[in-house]
Amino acid sequence: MNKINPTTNFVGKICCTILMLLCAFPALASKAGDANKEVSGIVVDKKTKDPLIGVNVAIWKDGKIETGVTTDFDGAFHIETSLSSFEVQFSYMGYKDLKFDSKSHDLSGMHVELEEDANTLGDVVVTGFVTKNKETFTGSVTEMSGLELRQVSGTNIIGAISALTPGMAMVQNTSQGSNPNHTPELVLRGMSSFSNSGQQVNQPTIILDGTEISMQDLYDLDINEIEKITVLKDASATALYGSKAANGVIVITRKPIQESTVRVQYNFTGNLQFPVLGDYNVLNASEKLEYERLAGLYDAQGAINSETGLPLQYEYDELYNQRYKLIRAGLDSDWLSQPARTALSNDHSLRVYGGASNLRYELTGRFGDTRGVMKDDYRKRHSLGFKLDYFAGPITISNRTTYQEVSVKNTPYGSFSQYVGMNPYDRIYNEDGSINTDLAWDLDNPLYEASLGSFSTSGTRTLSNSSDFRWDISKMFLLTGHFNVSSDMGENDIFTSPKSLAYKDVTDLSKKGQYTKGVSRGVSYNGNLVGTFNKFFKDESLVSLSTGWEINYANSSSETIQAIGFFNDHLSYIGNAVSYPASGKPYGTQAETADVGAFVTGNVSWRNRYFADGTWRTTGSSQFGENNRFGHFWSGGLGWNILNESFMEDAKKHFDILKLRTSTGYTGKVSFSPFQAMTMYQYNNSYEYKNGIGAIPITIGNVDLTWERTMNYNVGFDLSMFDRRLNFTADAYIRNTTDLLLDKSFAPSTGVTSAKSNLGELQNKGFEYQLDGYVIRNNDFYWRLASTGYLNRNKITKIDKALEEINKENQANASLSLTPLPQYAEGESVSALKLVRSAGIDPATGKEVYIKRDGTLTFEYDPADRVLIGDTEPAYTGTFSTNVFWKGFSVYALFSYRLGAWVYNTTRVSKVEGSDPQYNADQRVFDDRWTKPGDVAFYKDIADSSRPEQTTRFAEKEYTLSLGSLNVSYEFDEKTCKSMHVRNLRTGINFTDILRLSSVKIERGTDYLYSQGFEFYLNVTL
Amino acid sequence: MKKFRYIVYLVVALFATTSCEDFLNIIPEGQAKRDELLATSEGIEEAMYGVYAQLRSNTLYGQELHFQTLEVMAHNLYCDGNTSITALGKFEYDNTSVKSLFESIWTAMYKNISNANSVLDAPLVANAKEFPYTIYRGEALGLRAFMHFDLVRLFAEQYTQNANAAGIPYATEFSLKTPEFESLKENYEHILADLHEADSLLADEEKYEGEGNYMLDRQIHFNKYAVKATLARVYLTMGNKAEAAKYAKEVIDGGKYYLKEMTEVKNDLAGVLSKKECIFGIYYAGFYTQVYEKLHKTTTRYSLDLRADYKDIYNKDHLGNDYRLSSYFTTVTLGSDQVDRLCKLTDIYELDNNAASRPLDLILGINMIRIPEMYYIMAEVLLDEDPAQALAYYNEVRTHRGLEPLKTEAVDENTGELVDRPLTLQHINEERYKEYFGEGQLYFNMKRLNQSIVSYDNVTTYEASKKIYVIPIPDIEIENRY
Repeated sequence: MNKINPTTNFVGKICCTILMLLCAFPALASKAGDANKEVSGIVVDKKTKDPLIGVNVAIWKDGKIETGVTTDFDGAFHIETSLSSFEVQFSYMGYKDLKFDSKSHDLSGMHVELEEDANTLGDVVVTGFVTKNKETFTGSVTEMSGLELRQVSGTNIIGAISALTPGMAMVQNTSQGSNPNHTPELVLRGMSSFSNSGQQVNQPTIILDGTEISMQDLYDLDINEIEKITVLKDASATALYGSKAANGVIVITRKPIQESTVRVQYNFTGNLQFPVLGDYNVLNASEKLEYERLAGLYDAQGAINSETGLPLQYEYDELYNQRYKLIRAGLDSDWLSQPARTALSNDHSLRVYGGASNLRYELTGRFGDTRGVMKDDYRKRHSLGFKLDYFAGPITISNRTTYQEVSVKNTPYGSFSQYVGMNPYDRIYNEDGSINTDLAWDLDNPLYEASLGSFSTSGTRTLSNSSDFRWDISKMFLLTGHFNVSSDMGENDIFTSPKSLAYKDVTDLSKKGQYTKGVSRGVSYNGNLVGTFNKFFKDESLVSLSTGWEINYANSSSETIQAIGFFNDHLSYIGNAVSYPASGKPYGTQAETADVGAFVTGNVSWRNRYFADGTWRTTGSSQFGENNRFGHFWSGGLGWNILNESFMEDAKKHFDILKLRTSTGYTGKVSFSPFQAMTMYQYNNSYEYKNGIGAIPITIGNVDLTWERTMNYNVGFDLSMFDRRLNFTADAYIRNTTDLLLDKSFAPSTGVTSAKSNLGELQNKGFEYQLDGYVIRNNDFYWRLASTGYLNRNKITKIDKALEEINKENQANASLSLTPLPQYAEGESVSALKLVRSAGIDPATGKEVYIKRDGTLTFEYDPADRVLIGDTEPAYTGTFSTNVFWKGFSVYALFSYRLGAWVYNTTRVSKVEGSDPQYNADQRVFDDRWTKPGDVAFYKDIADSSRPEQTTRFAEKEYTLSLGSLNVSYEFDEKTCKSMHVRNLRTGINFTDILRLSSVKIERGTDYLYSQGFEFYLNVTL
Repeated sequence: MKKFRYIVYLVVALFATTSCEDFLNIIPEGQAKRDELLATSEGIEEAMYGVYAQLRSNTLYGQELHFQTLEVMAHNLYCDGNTSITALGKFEYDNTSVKSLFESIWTAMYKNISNANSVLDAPLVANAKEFPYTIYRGEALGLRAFMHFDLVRLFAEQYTQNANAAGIPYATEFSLKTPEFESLKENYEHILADLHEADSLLADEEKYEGEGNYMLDRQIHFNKYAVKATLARVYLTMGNKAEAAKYAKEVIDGGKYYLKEMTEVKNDLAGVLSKKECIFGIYYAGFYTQVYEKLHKTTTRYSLDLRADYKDIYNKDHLGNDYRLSSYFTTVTLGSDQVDRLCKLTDIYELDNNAASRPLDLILGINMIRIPEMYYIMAEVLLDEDPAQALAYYNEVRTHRGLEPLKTEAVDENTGELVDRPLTLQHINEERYKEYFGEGQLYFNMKRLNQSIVSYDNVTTYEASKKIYVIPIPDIEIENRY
């Protein structure tokens, strides 16, 4: 038993406590007096009956605290007081307060049961290393429970996270559509790096139960296992992660095992998806023929056939008539639907758990088979897990083993864009059922490739084991540790059939067909150890200090070999190959990284009114150059809990939370390989020199290379009113990134022509808000509305000459790219759209008129006339949702909107104007194309099929509203469940992507279609 | 709470491990850190082998600076079917493919110079006082000077035409600092300084021959005589005849490399280093593949044809049997025609698919410097002051090739009397032509003497001027200086 004497000196409190701990002698009560009254007993959790450690037990008299203690790790407390009439108050984070009057209760040997306060359960912030008190936390975080995630989508975790987190955006990839084998990309609070040769440098760090996982691992995670996700957004929250913190951190916690008898939970999710073909408006057979005629494809222009001596026009006319006849007979092939299908996917997961007070176990299993809307592809996920929790007094140890397998098959039907270009007057199949390979204009039938034995598959297997321990040394000291080992293996196989049209010019049979086999493996381990000191004072002040140490190591390698020469489509085993390709050799890559780090983080609050946060972190990484081996990161924050101010006394009954907070901090990011910071020599067999072997430097290392640093400033406001019926959070931030890594060009006499250097500065400024409220809230019925919004502005604050080199290169390559390549300039955004202004089509000639920089008109296109039009990133993004619940029924709808992004409409560029008349085109090709002098048209001469220059004619502003989820579910009430002998039963339907309204009409899903459909699910607990 | 105290100590101890360098020091396989590599003599040797190996790349002496670019510019070889080679032959230096060719030569040479600088900057080599570090330093300095000298010969004006001409950057540091452009005079000063230092460092080279693998086969290293031969070349190009003669004489009198006999002329240079005459060569086991594609095969787009009248100079003053004519050239069948080809560099064993029977003491590779050049230097230098000696040196090479010594008297056609016909520079240049055809030195000789070039088809004569002899500095160098 320890007694704390009330002192007003704050620092003194800390010193006192430390002294107390080091000496084992209990302090004596200083109050002498009359017959002491004893207040004692134990405090337990009402539901689980576990003793609660660290509960504040305070003696109040006349509104003032007289004395107080906290419970020990048996939940016991003991106070002696000489007062005669007083109140005893029990308060604990996450639980409802309880007060007892000394007169009405017997205060010795009490058995107090505290009830969890469901509304304040979220009052801790899980940072992955430590748990912080949300009330006194200065950082900006967004939390979502597993249930909220599943309301948005039962299958798409990443989409759900980005829909529920203001500030988080999923990178729009309109070519990949709904491809189940494409892992999406996330960006938090704007891009802070230039895209660097394919590396995903803007991706947040993802932590699952203390171990970092990749975006793909998150994509394959079973959504039913998730208890809660916390997204840490500003430096206060992320500085703990040091060099991984710059892009934000997503912390995922899986469900804990509750003490109970054996429970079985089964979840089933079925998903029916339909391909979205509505964005495509191609011509039908007769329209296509007419378009070809107008484009002059049947106009021989007087040419003569050299062999027969007759005008070619006869042949063209005959061709035209042939096709015309077929079309009149009704031929109109539907190519678009050929590679598409209605896909049914299913996902089953089973969780068996139970246990007593000292030992709990959990067995999980999952089987998922996801199909996409293009034929013959799949993504199968299987996993098995086993977890054990062991409780021995103050120590908790748990161990989890997981085995996971993912098998992938890619669609053999290829890119969807092939089908869009096919001519509708061509038959798809011949009369005998075989695939028609004799198409107009010598085009290739993409269905032919799909019918061959070619395939592309891959798979990975991961085995992982984590151990965690937690030791509540005393009510103030806590030690936690985590250790994880993972091993994974993968393979991929790609077989191209010898009958493929890729070999149509190859005559040598032993060179047709190819098999590429790759294998990969990796091992990683990580561990951390964290000690925490928490002290709650009876006046609700708090001191919390944590210090921790972390180690990470990962090693991976992959090898690929190729073999050619397959005589038969079916002999697709690599052992049947004839040889290696000429001058082919095996190819392999290796990567190894290691880092260690340590951090100290503290949180201090005074009377729950003013508080401060501070974090300092150091990381040493094998990726940092030798001169800068260790990086130091820090953050600090201040907050003001306005609610607890004296002037808020009257308003207090309306408000639950009223908090103002600010934070600032310094985070970094590593985006270069070690040999770019130090000179490394590379050996190679080709450097052999008769009596020895040579080695040459890979490049001249830049010893001054440092990581990219971001300075973050955040101001936030939290509001909660009317017993949490109305909640509002707003954040405004500025992020300045310096020392951006770019390839700088050097004059060759230096010895290298380019080397990575730290150049350039970027700034992101933005604002996020989250608002939700209950319009009506009863026991049986509630109606909740919510809205989130987010805007981010990006600006290059300093540019270096090297960036101008990139601009020059992009300018030179402009004709090769369909969309405009970026042109970086100081003061403009990284995603700025710069185009030459267009004055439309000249009615006299049908040619485009351009507006020069100085305003004059010209027919000449000059890329130097480009001006800033807008940004390809939206001006405003957000969601709003409505949720209605009545006696178990729940209806939830989530809308998202994107406003103000400029889109360069590539469909109009390549399918309306720059379309090749041999291929099919967009419907709009007929409207508004110039045909003769005097026409006032929007598009160029229909006979001109050259690709138009990049001008404002095709730039459109996007305003999109989509209904992402419409979820109807029903949770059976207790009585019905009991009669069915189950503990809990939930079922529902979730309609996904059912509505999309956009001001820009552009083809979406160019390589892989988008889809819409519905998920139906069933959750049973036995 | 004693338990807590121990925990504090544990955490603090763990903090201390944040400074464990070894754990964080990860080096991928097949690589080595420069500081570690260049701290041992084995490492330095490997780095030096790397520098040599890079010299044999196609952009440098494996093709362009040997039998392709330089010979096309000298109009010894041509290729009608190839537009970039044709443009090169017309000295169209602003043609896109010609520009990109010289850009890659410039870039590759400077990259290798920086590899040499990497070795020279290593502490053990920078402060070399004894064997083997003196050898490494000597070779590296010599190579650096050699590479800069060839760049000067390509991209700068001829010194004797314009002593105040602009030069090229002289790179002496291994760092990301870009070296400044210098005047031609300063370039030569640097080149000579490096070569002289190399000369003194390698002075006692012979003492250590055979000690360790690095000291075997000195021909494939930039050895003492290579340094002297290069000095002779440099001085001759600068116009300093006395010094040129001094060093050429040292090479000849050194006795280590000497002229071969006439019967040994055949196949002496066929893809291998001349056993007797090669002062400096590059080991290159894959040379045959390159040579065969370009000089021997019969496709027209890539193979190089001989100028139509190549034989004329061989047939001039033809007294005796010039073994070179029969050894260097051959005829192959192209369709239904017989075509002449340069087979001087083609490895005969590979050609016959008989690599196994090649004698083991033959070293495969490229001949960079051979001794006949030293004789020609002596002859040219002594032409005015000691004609008899000059003639002696000149004839020395002639007789070793099967020809009769030059007749210094001839019957004048008009008068019918015997007139003196002394040795002239033209005679020496003609000998050079016959000896060094296809080896990439003739263009430089013509530039040095500011001669006009007659095109391979005898149609155009390119007058001697900066327009043909000075290749413009590549844009990539000038644009990236900021």
